[in-house]
Amino acid sequence: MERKKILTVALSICIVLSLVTLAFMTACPSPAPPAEKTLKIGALLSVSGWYSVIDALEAAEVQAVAEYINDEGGITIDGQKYQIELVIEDCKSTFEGITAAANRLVYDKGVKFVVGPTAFFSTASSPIFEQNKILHVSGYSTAQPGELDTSTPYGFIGHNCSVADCIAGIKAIKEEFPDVKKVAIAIPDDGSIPYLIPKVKRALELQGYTVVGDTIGHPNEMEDFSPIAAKLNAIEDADAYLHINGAPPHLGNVLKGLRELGNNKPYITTSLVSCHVIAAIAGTGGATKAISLGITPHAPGNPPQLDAICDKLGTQYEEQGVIYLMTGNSLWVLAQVIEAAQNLDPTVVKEKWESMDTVETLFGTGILSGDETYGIQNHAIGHPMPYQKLMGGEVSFGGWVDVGAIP
Amino acid sequence: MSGNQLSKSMPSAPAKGRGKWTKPAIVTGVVVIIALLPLLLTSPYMLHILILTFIYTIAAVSLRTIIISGQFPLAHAAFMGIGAYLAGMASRWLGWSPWLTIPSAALVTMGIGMLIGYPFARLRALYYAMGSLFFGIGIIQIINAGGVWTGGYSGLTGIAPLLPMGTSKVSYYYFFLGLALISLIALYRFEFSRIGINLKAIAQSHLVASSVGINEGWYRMLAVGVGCFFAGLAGAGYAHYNMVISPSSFNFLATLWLVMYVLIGGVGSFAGPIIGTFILVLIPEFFRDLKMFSPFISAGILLIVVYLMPQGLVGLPQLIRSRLLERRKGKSITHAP
Amino acid sequence: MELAVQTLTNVLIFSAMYILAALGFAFLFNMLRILNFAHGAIYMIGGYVGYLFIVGMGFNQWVALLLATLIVAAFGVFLEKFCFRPFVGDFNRTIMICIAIAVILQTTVNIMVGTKMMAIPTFVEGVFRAGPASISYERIVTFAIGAALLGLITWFVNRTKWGQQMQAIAQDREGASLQGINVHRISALAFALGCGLAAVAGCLLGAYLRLSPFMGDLMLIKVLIIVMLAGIGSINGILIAGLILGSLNAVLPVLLSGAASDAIIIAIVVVLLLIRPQGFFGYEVEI
Repeated sequence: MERKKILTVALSICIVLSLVTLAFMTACPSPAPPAEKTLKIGALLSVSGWYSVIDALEAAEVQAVAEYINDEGGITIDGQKYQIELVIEDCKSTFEGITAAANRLVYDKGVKFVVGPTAFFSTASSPIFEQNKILHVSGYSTAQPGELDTSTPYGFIGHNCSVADCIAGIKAIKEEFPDVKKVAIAIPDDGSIPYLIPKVKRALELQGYTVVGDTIGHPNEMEDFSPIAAKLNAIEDADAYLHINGAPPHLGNVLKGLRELGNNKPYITTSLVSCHVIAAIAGTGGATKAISLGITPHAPGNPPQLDAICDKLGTQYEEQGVIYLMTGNSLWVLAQVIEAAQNLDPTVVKEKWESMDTVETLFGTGILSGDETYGIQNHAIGHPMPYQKLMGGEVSFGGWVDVGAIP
Repeated sequence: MSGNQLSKSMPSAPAKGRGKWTKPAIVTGVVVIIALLPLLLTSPYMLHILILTFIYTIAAVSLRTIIISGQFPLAHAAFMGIGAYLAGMASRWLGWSPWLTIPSAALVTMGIGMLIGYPFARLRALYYAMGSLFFGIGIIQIINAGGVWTGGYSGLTGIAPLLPMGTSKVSYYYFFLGLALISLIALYRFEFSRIGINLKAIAQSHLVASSVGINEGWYRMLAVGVGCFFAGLAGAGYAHYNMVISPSSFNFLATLWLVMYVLIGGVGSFAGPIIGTFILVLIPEFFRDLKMFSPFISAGILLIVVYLMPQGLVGLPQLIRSRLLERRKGKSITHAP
Repeated sequence: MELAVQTLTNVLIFSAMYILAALGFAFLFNMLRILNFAHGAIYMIGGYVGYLFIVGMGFNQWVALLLATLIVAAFGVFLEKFCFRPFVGDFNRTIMICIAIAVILQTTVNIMVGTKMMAIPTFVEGVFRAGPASISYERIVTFAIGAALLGLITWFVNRTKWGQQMQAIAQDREGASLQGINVHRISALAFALGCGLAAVAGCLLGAYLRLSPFMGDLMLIKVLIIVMLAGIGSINGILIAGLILGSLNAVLPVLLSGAASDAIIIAIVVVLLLIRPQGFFGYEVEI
């Protein structure tokens, strides 16, 4: 009797699971063969697992960018129009998932150009791409070894990297809080501190700021970041706090902790986390006097292509409060360079990319640079960046800052 | 969990009507098929997945070696991580050749396992499981805090490849197949040697075992040492195959999944972890196109095994046989006048 | 000075936070000897159900907290009947079903709302300030509820008939059954309480911290540490264990920079366990 019951339950669970699977599989229509020639571009994004909080949105954005390029006529090479066929592979937020996905893209799908994965995840896929001479364009970089250096001649960054975002953050302070002179730095301790912090400090000094206090590295995973907020608060000389590479939980909770301590100094994040997200975590009491880099649709100064893609994404900004467009911008830049190279061979495109000075990005004209930071010429990019302000719980568009060439 | 529980989950040797050559024949057949697979599978991607499966098989089977001694460690992925990071760091910072780093990393992992095994030998059953769980988390935290040396949370890059750059996946496939076969044979010999039998005796009852002169502490340490050696071997091989390693591959969740590989296969049989690893690695990989929905597949496999196969996947043939027997009996009863 | 005062308040708040999250797990573990690895996921579900009621349906915060607790408690009864009761005493299959439940819950939430970053709106607004100390009322509420629930559970286990029946089951399931205790009903009640407590923690910490489909994984480790330090069978020990873990987590990140603090916390825990394997107040049991 008991066994029968268990069997029934197990069977029903199996049925439900298989139905869910089936429903999903049928819901994905197999793309009809397009009349024009297609160019396969792979995208490595962690659609499941802990990183999906960012990459599931990025997947939709990359899709929107690809559609936009296709609507505009695709990539034209020697008069022949190529439609982009995007192949998104799930990285499962683990290194094993990334290597499996990268192998599948290279060997099973036969792609020659890949966008993603983001930041340090790209270290896992680079060896596979380099061996097969596949051009891979990451959406972000934290300047750690293996992400982008002389060992990755086929690797590029198609969006502002961590260093560029720091420059953007510093310029945003200058715009919004001109009387700030001394800055304290916080950063998650993910191994990037020894590589990134000297560069950030130099960029700060170039802009006329002094760094005060020790760099506050914090564990990547903590439930409560109030000890970090207390530590920042204890640096009394600081006029403002700069939080580098912080993920949304870090930023929201540190800001909340600071404001709870009665600290009202400006708090600037250099990650691409929309102020809406920070406000959602920090709560109404904590969300004030903060700046974050992030896209606001239809803000003054937005290039037309950026607005068009924001429109394509529909209500994502209203519902999720954020548009990242890191990998999306990489795809856009990649398409621009392929068109400039007039060739579909990754090696030719790579050489063209290295020889170009500027390239059109979704955010305006980007300057190819980063020779000193990455030890490899023209593989990184610096382009204008919009920022948002968070004042009294209200999010507003702040303005655009020009990053210029990164060192 | 403790010895009693383990013996409960071990199937009593069933009276089988098969000849004594059936088992070796099946094993040889399976090995030959796997060895011939690269001829059929032209996709290096599938070979890559199979290589990973071999690596995890070594780890899962070595985990079971510790489990048969009546201990339930929840740190096995961390030991893999120790092996991987030792090999990776020796290669990255000292420039050692992979052929030197892999065996030495495995040996050092064994040493660490046995050193840790000594204080942990005081802990029993659940306390051992939890103690080792915290130890495993500690290892990952140390790697996270290692700064430049370990690469921290983002992982260690720049590890020398095992075979020269540009070697095809087929060579790697045969290398790891060979490594897995040698490890499995060694672990099999270990389990059915005198030491292995003593370990099982300790698992049944450590008091009885010590009363007949089995040095319990030493044997438990030995089991942990052997298990850790092969975990370290698997980890070091993985590091040189992948060339990039990250602490997240060896964390608490990775350990739990290794335990799942052993449990769904069936802890009572040597073949259990092997079958379990193949099922839990390969089937979810086939469904990778489900994207966000793909974790449901692993969970579904777990549920099916939990509800329908009390002995794990290895118990399946026996389960079907007894079910058929039952049905036949039931029929004969109903047909009886 | 200010940093020291802040750290001291953090010690208290962190301890309360961890105790609150650990209560449900510890209750199930001590009463039924079930190592519920799905606790983290149930804690997460509690937070999201609370969010659904508060933001999605616009309920009063405290009503929503109550409703979320009841719903998750009912879910606990379901889990007990179909997922845990068939495998009583089978550690291996219990751990497998726990992992399966955790994966299913996490993936479901991740598919539905995973990409939206959110936190439950604060239960109480405002900040209490006195000299160098300043604590938000929200944290005081978290602390108060954590302390109250700990007291309530201690009273329930030691003073009420049901609690004593649970203790009897913890000691000897068959013996308890022979004494006329309805083991199934009491187990269901224990699961309802255990999951309900997880939901309370999920709601409160979902407001105080944030919500994420994977927030349970991190908390689960902290919960396991507390329960092992406290010792099996000891509800009282949770207070001490929670204070130890809370102080370590509040003080060490201030003293040390970077990820080193986590490594030292866990090293201290391992050493404490090796010195006193049965925990501070526990007794050794065979499981």
